[in-house]
Amino acid sequence: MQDGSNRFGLLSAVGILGERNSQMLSEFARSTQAQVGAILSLTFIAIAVFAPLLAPYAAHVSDFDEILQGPSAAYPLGTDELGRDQLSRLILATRVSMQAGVMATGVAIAIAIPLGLLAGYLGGWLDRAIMRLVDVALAFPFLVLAVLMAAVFGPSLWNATFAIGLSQVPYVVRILRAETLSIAQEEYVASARVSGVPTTTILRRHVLPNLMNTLIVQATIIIPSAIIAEAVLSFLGLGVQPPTPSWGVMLSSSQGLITEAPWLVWAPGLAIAAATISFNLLGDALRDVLDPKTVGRR
Amino acid sequence: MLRFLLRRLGESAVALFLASVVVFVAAQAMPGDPAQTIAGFEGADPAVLQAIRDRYGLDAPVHVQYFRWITLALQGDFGNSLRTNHTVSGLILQTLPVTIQLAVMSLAFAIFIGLPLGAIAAYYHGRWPDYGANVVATLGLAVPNFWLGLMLILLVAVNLRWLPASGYIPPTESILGNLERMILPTIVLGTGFAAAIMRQLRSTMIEALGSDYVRTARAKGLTEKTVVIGHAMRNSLVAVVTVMGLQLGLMISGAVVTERIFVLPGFGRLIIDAVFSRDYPVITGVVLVVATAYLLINLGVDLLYRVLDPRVRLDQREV
Amino acid sequence: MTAAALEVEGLVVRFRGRDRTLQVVDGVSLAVAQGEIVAVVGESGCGKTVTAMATVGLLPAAAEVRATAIRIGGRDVYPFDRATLQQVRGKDVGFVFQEPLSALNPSMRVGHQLREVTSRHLRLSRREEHRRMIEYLDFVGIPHPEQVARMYPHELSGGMRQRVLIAGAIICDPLLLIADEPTTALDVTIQAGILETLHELRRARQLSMLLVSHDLGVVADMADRVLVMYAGRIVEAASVEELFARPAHPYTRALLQAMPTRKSDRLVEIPGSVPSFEGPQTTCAFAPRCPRSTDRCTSHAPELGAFAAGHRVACFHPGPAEAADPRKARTELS
Repeated sequence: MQDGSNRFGLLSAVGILGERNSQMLSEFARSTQAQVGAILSLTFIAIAVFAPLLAPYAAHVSDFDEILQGPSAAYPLGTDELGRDQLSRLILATRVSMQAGVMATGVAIAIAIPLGLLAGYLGGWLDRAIMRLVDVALAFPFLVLAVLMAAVFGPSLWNATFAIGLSQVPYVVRILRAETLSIAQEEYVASARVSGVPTTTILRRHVLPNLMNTLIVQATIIIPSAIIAEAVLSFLGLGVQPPTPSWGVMLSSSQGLITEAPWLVWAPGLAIAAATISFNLLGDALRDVLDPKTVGRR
Repeated sequence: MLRFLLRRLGESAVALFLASVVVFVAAQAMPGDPAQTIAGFEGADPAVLQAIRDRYGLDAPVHVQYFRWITLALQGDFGNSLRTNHTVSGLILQTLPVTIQLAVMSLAFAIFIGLPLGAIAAYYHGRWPDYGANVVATLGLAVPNFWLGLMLILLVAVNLRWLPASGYIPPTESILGNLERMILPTIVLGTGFAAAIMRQLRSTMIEALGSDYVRTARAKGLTEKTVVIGHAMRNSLVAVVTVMGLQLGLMISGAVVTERIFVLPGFGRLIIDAVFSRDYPVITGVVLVVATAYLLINLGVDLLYRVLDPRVRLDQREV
Repeated sequence: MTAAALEVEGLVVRFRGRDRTLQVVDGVSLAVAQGEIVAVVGESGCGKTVTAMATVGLLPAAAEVRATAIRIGGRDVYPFDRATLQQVRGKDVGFVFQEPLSALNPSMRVGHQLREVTSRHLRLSRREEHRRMIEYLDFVGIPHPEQVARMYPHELSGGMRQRVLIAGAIICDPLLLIADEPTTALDVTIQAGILETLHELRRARQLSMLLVSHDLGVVADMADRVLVMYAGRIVEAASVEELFARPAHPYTRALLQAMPTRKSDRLVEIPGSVPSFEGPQTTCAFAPRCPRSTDRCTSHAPELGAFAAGHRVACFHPGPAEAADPRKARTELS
């Protein structure tokens, strides 16, 4: 079927993408929001990946003669109290935020998939038990989890992202469970079950692929939240530890110097906001295409 | 309705129990000798420590320890702070009012800004007030609240000197002084909340305004005000309540951060200080209180649902 | 002479879309006298609902409404101004919509939705309001009105909901009731009850009605006069007896043939579909589907003209059928 408006039609014709997916991709690519969101998000990811190459100075280089200098040619965003170049630190901190986004999403999805699938597919007491666990998990917002992790294991980026991911699990489990429930009603699933196909295979081959769209949508919601959450935790000292640069850490140390070095306050905050907006735009655009009846955002 | 209420309470009780177990396990995992933890200030005299072990049954099997711990907790005894030797419950009672004041003020701010903006955006859907409101909401959600706080301090306190930058005065001492110092924190904590409310209301109201029952309302000759507020907005409140419930998770991290920035002696600061000073009894006590509060709030939100939307049959298994 | 309940002259409605504009109603004039029931019939998409809603400005903002005149009870309501419309709606004109469940506010008790109308338009004490609400609920045939008033729409059956809507539409004793497919969404058994209620309304209160329907059975039962609409224009207007006995327009004839009756055991359909126009029509809109169309039909638009006493048609070849029309054979569904 030749559809002139489907620029990715070639991909489906060649068999790389399904017909429907390539149409969605085309629709997605057409929206301005998607384009802007995608470009910006990719920019951040690129910055994160190539950070050491982009940063004019290495992370820990400090020049004590240049403490608390305002923006200048040598130091476009000024220096901090240890004479470190803010621009470099800002760029390097991008890595931390992107890592947080990816890791938190990974943790959330890895834990939520088995729970959601089993709850939705098997039902019964297992379902009820899992939903009880979800209720309990909802009593622990990410900060509380991070506090507990920090108290038990000591603060670190990994502990912080684990806590963030864990805090997202209840929401993802609920959605996956609902989706699994409705997929399980489909005829092809019923016939597979009747034919004696083992449950794990059914879940793996029939249910899981149909959840991909939902998972992508969830990822788009989790990533921006994780970026902010990591910044908050680092700001409070529960995440990344100095001297590793993180936007949150940078903001934290800028607070005490707010009167002497106001320039230190601007950049990290703007970076956080920009990254969050970029991924939100991308996420919104993806959601419009993948899931028109999106549940309310968190 | 009563049956539903009882069932929900039962579920919450189970969740509460499980949550307390989690906290207990975490508490056990925290480094340090529990006896020393409880002894706190009193020093490391081995005899004292052994006495504590006996008293709290620290050599007893784990589940026994749990029961003792939870029994004490239910009576409000969370032990003593390692740092200051005040009772944990005392510290909590001291700091909670500050945080509650902040939370209530922020909630009010969010509602008074978010609802009207959302309604206006929905009513003028597609025209500039809608676009304007959307931009504001997107910014409000994306800008990290602690950065907003720092920027506000920079602008209002340092440059303009309209308001003090930090600190707290209890209302009992000076209402004006208290409010002066609470305005900026309220804005900081309330903005993200307001943006979320505004977005949700807008989206739900746009749908409501296009619905058949709104058409009927107009066909009855009701004034636009009645139609928009009495019909469309009223039916959209359920969705807003949902969002508010979801936002509460962010509320506490927001409160912690806000208190840190504006140096408010609240609950949030208590917990952060406790983490850094390894004050485990405080950490455990606070976490338990927070978890309980969350479960109760979730329960409250569920009940509020029922009141606002008579169609929702909450005793069905929700998907 | 008392003023007509409704007079519409030269109504044109255009919908402005993103890329193009559709002229959905192309110069419709009609009148409903006091105590008269006028039915507007046609297929989906012919503009009959749009016409009905346009009379009190109930169309969405994308609709452009123009008319020479629109009068309700002798009072000009066009050009539209919000205050006048809000006074007229609910008080002089009552509306009954097609889908009673979605037309009622799901989170408001039924009684409240009725009292809203009276509080808006009538100066009554609370007790009088309540009494009136009960009285009208009873009148439309709702049992135990006191209890029903406290219920929510979803707790009632479809038939009851429609009666509630009717009660709300007449509670201020309007001159005119505009009913848009009032029975379409209901079971056939319930339909009869609703129609009976509407009959009763006319008998007891001399209520005038503009009834929009695609169901000729309902029309035959209720209407005094019938207007047949096609593609935004009225193509035939006659009393109900005239129309059924001597349908003049080929489209009307086709509609009548398409009515499922107990005699026929096949469903007859009219081939093709209703066209849409971007501007005023310059040809006969029905020509492509008409068994009698000639060159004249495809180059000029017919106007409504007299066919017989009290019977007007917009057609170049009106009148009884020819003996055997080969194209009719094609229309039978096998």
